[in-house]
Amino acid sequence: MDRSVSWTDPKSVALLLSRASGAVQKVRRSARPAPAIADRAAPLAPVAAAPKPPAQKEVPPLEQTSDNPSDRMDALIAWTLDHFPCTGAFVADDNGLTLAAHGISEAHVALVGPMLWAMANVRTIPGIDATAGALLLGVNMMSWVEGRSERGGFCLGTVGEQPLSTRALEQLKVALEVTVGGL
Amino acid sequence: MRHTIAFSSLKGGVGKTTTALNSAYAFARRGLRTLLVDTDPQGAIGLSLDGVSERPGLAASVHDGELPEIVKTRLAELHLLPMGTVEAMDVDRFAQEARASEVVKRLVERAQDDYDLVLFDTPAGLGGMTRLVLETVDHVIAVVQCEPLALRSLPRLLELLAQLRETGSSCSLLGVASNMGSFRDPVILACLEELWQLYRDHVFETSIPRDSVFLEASRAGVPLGLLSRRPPPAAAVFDGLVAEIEGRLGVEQGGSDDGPIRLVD
Repeated sequence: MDRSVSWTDPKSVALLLSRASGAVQKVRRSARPAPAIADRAAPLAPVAAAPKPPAQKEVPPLEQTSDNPSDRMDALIAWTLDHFPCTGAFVADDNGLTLAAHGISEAHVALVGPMLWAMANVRTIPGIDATAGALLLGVNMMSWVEGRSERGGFCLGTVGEQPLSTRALEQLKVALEVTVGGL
Repeated sequence: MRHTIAFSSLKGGVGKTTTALNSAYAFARRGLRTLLVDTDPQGAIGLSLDGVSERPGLAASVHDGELPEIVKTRLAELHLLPMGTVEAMDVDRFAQEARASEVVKRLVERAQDDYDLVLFDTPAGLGGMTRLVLETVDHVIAVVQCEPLALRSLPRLLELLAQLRETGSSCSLLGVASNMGSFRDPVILACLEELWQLYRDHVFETSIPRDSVFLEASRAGVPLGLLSRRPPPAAAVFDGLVAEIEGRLGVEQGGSDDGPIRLVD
């Protein structure tokens, strides 16, 4: 069995986290600029309750069981819709040709090609390695990741009220690579 | 002042100073009155910012007992307290003198009314100044480079934090910030995935990327947001990170003390 990168036992980490964490008090944004520290003493702040980060559901990795490209794309779309905050999802090739989609409009489909073309131009800027992005479309956010296989480039995108997080984009990228890597 | 936060790690070179400095800048840009304190005897903040390393700071305060002079910046909401100079032979003794003089505690007391946030950049390791700061602050952000050794050392920091809490400290883990991430390197990606798997919701969604622009900013001695008139895209990462930190702190938009801000005082 492969050893984990961290050599760390998950149970001991969970126990440590519970011992090292707790709730928090609230702070308000100040309207005043910060003055220099004044020569007056003040009592210590009341003890802050410990913080509790928001709960997040765990996303299981995508498993592809079919060799049929169409089935694989459909499985990817279904997995994306099931596990991420979006109302629609699509897979396209690097020319913007939609290969599979659910819950997105014709306008969104038409947008994919120019969007990927724009991203390709962005990547010509030295030092910019952009392979994912988000775009505000009226009341919706389109988020997408790009991946490559021997058959060329592909894009997996979502449409929803919120842009996807960095972690979510990475999970989508892995799922896209799992899907197109087997074609 | 409502919150004190330390940026800490057992391992050196993981990006504590870079994360603390750029987060402080981003907090100030969002209107929070922020004081960034360098508690690293090596003076990492001073070494990172042009025009700061020669100023007296915490080191002088430990010796003369007076609270140090705060350095104002071009952002009215951002002030700095550099370390100043600690002689190489005095580094070990410095933490003992800092503890004896209660300089960190007195600093926090004095900052009470003047700042919304006091951020502490700590040296690598868990002894000396790091422990002194962790005994004083409310929250810790563990900074982890996306590489195996940094990942393996993280439980040691948590163990210290747990023990401090069990002996009466109010300090708690606010979150884990992943640094120098890259989705293209398989080892880095494996570290990121394991970090998320082990520490789950404690890991901030915002991952700080490995990007040469950090070296450019370091070379220029400026935070990323001041590297050029049009800041590099990586600067926006810290806007995302501090927004997450605010969320975990429960910082509210507005409130009873919120309102128009005079342009001219």
